[in-house]
Amino acid sequence: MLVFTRIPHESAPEAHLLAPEGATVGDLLDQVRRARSARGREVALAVASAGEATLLTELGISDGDLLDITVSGTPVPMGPDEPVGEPIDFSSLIVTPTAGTKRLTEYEEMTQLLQWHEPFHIEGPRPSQTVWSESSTVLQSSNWEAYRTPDKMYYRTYVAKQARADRSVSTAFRFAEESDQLAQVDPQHLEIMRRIVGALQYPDWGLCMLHQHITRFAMSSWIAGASSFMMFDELRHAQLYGRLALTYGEVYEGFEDPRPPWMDYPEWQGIRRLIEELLTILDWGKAFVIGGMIVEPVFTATFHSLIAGARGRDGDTLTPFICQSIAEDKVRHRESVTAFIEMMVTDPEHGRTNSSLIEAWVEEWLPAAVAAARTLAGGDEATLTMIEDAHARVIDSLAAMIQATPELS
Amino acid sequence: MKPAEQYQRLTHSLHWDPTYVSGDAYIPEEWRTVCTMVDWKKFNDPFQILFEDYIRIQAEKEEKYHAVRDAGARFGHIARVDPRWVEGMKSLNTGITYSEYYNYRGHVRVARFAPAPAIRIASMVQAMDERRHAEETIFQAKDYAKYHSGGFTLPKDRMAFFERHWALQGGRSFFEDLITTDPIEAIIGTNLVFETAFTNLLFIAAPAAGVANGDYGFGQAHLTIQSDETRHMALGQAVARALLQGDERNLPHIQDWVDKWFWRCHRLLQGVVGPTLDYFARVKPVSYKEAFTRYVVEDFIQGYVSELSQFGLQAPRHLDQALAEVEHGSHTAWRGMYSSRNSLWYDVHQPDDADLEWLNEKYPLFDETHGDFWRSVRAGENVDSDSMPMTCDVCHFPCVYPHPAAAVAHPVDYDGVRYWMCSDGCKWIFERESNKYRRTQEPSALVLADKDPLWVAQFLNITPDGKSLGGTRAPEGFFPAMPVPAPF
Repeated sequence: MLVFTRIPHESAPEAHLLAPEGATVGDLLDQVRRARSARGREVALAVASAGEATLLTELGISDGDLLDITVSGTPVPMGPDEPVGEPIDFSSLIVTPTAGTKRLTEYEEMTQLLQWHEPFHIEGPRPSQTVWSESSTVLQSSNWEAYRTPDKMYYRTYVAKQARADRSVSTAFRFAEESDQLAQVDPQHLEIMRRIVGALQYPDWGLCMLHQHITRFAMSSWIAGASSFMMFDELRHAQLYGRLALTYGEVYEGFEDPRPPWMDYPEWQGIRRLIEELLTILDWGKAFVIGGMIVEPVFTATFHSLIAGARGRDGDTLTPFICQSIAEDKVRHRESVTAFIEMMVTDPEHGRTNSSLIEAWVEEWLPAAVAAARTLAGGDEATLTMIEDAHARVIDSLAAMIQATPELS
Repeated sequence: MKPAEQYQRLTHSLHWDPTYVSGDAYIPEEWRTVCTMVDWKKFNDPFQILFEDYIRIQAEKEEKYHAVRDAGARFGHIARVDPRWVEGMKSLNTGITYSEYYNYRGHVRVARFAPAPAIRIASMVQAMDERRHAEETIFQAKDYAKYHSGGFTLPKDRMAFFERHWALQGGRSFFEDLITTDPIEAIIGTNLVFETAFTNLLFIAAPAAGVANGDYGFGQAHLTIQSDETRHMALGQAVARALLQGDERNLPHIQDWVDKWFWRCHRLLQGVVGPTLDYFARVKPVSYKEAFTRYVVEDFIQGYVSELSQFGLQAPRHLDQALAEVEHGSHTAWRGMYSSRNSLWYDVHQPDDADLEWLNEKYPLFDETHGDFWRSVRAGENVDSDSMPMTCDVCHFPCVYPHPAAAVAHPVDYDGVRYWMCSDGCKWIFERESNKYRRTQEPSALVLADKDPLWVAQFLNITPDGKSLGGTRAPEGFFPAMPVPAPF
């Protein structure tokens, strides 16, 4: 039984823990009397002059109540504290760093242990009133804190790296504009660009939104860190594709509005459908795997082959340059996702379950992604080959990872 | 193409309305805002920043910040920071790290579920800023720890403190509340109330005090953080204005959220920044009350909120109570910390003559209300806390405000349980959304009763019978070794 008391106009409420059953006025007053706030004075309940043997429940006092205390007598200055009870063994709490303890890298220092754990103060009945929850993904981990992204990126290194990348890209745009380079592009390439380049901003913006969700709900600061930089990169990519379309629009007609191809052209609809379906996945782990392992690699291979493949480069060195800069980010992303999947499938406790889930997702989503990509590629043989390669890479890398699952090998 | 058009083309036009999945699948009702706007797509972010501009500006800011930081670490400036101020940083730095980290994780949710394309982009950029701020404070902690080892929480121990220690639960509960709101409530709570009204206390007044006490690194970190906050404030102000202007049905929501977050911010900042300005700073350029008056009352209430009164917005519901509390808040917090200093990991000093003279000058009610307490301490009386306080079920600060002799404690019975609130503001917050604030763990006094002594030691740094394990008298090596206790 927990009861609070206070001396009005003198002290703030204090907690007293009493026996759940049979606690008396005397039990409570004993604690109040011993407390430093009583300053050695006589104490009594303000509400009743009941004897000390009276049960608190008989006075209508129940768990959680706050009672006023009256004091009488002269306050006694409280002296130094005297030890009470058994001393605790400090040595059991102290750990001396041993020789050879690994020094943390700056990435580790900036990323570790930033996400706190239950019990949370807020845990309302609605899903949106949950801080973080194991049930936010069907994937399970014995230790979410074990994840490390191979790029070891944190904010300081991220902005430094991407500022450098964007300086190069800006130079490329400026060079193309000043040299009037796009005025001489191959007509066939121009047609492809009209059909493709404007709409390219949408799939990457979709991936960006996907990573917003993953970053919110991921179960450790390590995973959220990797996902958030992928999220911001996807904004970069969407805006680079958009800027590429704008640059073409400075020279040619047909680049004014990116929306019609994306919303209406038949060849784009499979991709749009898949991106929209991807955005309905509220399981952050599933979204991370499908978005990063299947959708992004297959689609990027398709897009870059169509607009920057060897066939269409005549007269346009800007587009391959931009695609290369984007591709460098995407390689990092795939390595981060691969590290996540490896952690999932090799989990000593949950690896088998995780493997089954991931295999099922690949089985469901990879054919749809490949079919959508093929539709966009049309009869472009080089791009169809790139799609087949991307398809094979997903299958091969999944097989290699599943093979690494100890229980399955 | 003009820059504004280019911005629209590269941000707003990224958005499309899905047709292959339902709107409810795309943004489930559970995660949607209750606010309405005729056309969310027409809302404009006042800062309009593109990725390439953001990354360039932020990289430059990072270079400048780390140059000052590196110089401070290399030439030992940090070693010469006033020792009292360093004690304050042991607590404040940990609290800020996690508050910034929350905002990072919280604002990506706003980005995902907010209905306006411009809010999505701006919130995502803000999330990256918040991630930056969390990192800046970790860098600072590293630097402090290099020169001030005694009891300074090293990064690897910070989580244990944030999760368990009583002194940080007020901050923790604040941010858990903020991360679980309607997405527009998150913007009103964070960008409008917290950042526009209150972070000037933290990122302008506190750095001024830091620099006055030799902490140039703190000054540089927080001023560079504040340069990002300016963008966030502009977003919060623009969102509030657009919603109030666009649809009168938004007014009750905006008013409700302004009222709620004003009170929660007041409670948190008073307990955190109040002692920093009024006590930890030996050289005191501004009192908490003066900073509150200038930034919260004059700039925010009399400036911004008054300007929006044309749309019906009123001053926060519990403004008068906050103004009355500011007379006492930092002193009450300091007395509480002093009495509990043996369970803290930083030193809480007894005010000296110069402090008392300044406190009496700045706070006319100081001597009448708090003078006896400090005279008792000077006379050698033991004022150390030997009992558990009643803790507010909303803000998770002890029920000691405005000051211990007049402590407010309001009961509310909900679902068969008696809850206690420290103020009218917290009681109002509880009653409007009781389900959200239902207790997830027993009050500390009960939690401690059943626990292993080592667990208790790590929860509160005290033994079950109330004896100190920590504080500045902690044995060497105690804090750095503290592991994260297992959940119970």
